[in-house]
Amino acid sequence: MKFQRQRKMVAMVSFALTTLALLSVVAVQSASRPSKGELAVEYRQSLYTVMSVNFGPLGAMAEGVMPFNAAEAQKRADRMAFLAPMFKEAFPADSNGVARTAARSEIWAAAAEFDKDQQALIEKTALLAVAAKTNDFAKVKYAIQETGETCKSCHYKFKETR
Amino acid sequence: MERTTRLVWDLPVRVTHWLLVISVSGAYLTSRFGTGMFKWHRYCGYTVLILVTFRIVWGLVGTRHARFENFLRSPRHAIEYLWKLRSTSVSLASVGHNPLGGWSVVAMLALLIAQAGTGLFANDDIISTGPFFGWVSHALSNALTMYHHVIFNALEALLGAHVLMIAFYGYVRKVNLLTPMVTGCKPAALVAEPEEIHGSRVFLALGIIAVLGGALAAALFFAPAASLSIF
Repeated sequence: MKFQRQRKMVAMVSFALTTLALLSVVAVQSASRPSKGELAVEYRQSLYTVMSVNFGPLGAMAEGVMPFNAAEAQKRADRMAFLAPMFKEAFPADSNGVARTAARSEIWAAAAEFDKDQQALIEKTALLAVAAKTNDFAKVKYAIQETGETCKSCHYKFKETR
Repeated sequence: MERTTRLVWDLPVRVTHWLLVISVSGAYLTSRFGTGMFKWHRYCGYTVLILVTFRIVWGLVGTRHARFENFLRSPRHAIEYLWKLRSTSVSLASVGHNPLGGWSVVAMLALLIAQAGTGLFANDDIISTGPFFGWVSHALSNALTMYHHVIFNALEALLGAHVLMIAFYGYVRKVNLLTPMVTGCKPAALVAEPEEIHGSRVFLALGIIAVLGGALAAALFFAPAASLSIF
């Protein structure tokens, strides 16, 4: 056949190039897909953001910066109580030390203590939701302050200060 | 009758000192007492801010020994004085602040005003903010909050050293610096007659305090509502 050697060369080179192209696509894809640990960090940071934004009006009411609105307080308090239990699954071991996390490694080193704080948040937000239904501002304010204290005491021990 | 002591520290300096002891301790304690008590932390902070600003102004217009120009010596003097402290035979007496003490006063005033100042804009991420939080971006407030925490550590060290030094002077070098800061008077043997002050200019001090208090009150009144809520 004419140009037998040249045809072989072209075939080999095209095969090599195609393989290289496919391999690099696969490599890039797996580099950009977040690891489970990274996803866990994103999950809990999103949860904390949602919780923080919903706590905002409650905090403002307790501080006297926003007038007390029973319906608004109930709505926010119910959301807090709904969110609090979701954090238990958000701290898997492979999310320790992952980029962007503010979670100190003490969370895993002192896991029992951290779990107690998680439980405290669940309890306090449940109490907050109950208090909000009474429409009694004094009770609601107290429950808001208790919840805030729980957030802060856990941060003090387990959140990296920036 | 021969007087045994002479007046060195005027009343405003002494009152400022002891009110600072109360308000700084109060600020530290109330920062850990919980959200319901946090307003007391703010009140202590305002007090510290006004007292320190007053003392700085007083250091320019107050009585003789209160003025910075009369007790601030060059760093070389301060280091020489530090060496003197090691020896018991050399007299450590000075009329006003000694060279080392003078610079620690400046350091304490600077740290205290920085601490109170950053606190005005700080936030605890959860529920409480300083009164001027609404005047800055959240990012700037977070940065100033970080400084508020860092400066606390420096203050703790400096104020601890201050107390230890006063104790050292008193028990080891037998120089009593505590009583003069209460009564204002030092032994006549240490104070030449021309060095004595003859009045406290209390009305001037009260006037300065009134102006500073009014300025702070106005700023607090006109500050936008400070809240971590985005709604």
